Amino acid sequence: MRKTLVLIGCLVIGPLTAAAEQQRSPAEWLDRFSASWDETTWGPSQRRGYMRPLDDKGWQARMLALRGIALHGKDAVGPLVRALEEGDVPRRILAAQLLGYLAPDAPREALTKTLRDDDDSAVRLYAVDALGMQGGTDLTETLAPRQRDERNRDVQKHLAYALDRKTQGMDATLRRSLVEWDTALMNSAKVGSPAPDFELVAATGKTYRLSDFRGKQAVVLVFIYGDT
Amino acid sequence: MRDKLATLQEHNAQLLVIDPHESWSAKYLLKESGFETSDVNFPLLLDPTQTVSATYGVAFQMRIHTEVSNRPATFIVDQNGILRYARRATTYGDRPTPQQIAAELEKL
Repeated sequence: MRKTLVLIGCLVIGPLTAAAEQQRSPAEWLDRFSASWDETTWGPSQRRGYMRPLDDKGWQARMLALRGIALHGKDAVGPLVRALEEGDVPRRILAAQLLGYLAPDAPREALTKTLRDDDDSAVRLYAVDALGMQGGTDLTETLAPRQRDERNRDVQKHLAYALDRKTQGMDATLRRSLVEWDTALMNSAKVGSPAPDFELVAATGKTYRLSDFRGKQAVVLVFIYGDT
Repeated sequence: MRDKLATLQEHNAQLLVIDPHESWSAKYLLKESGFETSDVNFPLLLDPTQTVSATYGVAFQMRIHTEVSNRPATFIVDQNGILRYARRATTYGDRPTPQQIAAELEKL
């Protein structure tokens, strides 16, 4: 009898744990992210680029928080706007990034205010990206004063991207790709094992799947950060 | 990059480049460097939510141009779909040379 109960217990707890993952609130996800994301692990200041250590786990916490919060859709907007107003820098960056994925449900006023007033350039950069992802309305009027006053070169560049896309917002499949991502795939590429398969759209609009090359060609995958 | 492409053609290998941005900024970057999207003769794949980057363990690991971007990395997948080579950069310029990639392709 006891054995049966233990067995039933295991069967129930398995799915419950998965469900609990899904039900974690945006505020709880933000706290988990803050607990794992160590801003100091960027390492000693280098001339170009700050690299986290190879064994860093903070990036995984960031990825899980992005997905966990995106699952909440519209309901995440309130907690994210609060994080944008009250959080420390890493939290404000994460909130601005997520409000991009939540376009067009993200409030334009909060993002515009952040773009104008936040003293951290990375937060402003993600805020302007999020505004661009909204789509629907011409941003020229909103962004013109920022183009005039913004002092950070990178934020200036992202202001140009946002204006370049005109009224075309984020691709609707983008949020879905995050929400539907299987978190068990995190960091799963191991030498000697099958390369994790994926499907991505190219800049030309054509879709590529890694497994399409199987039996035909070897593939060299080069991950870049946006350089050419 | 051109050297790399020639090396890959000799070894019947396909190059896939993965950029952690939406198509807007990727196209803008190309335009800024004097290219059109159609000028690039390898697929420039876009991973704006960084799910593939996270799968390959390179997402959100470098702070550059004010962004939280991918750690530069190179992987080689053989014809059977097995991952045979992985190099995740530990410094900004840490990437394999075309010769090193050719040597790895020779081994397949």
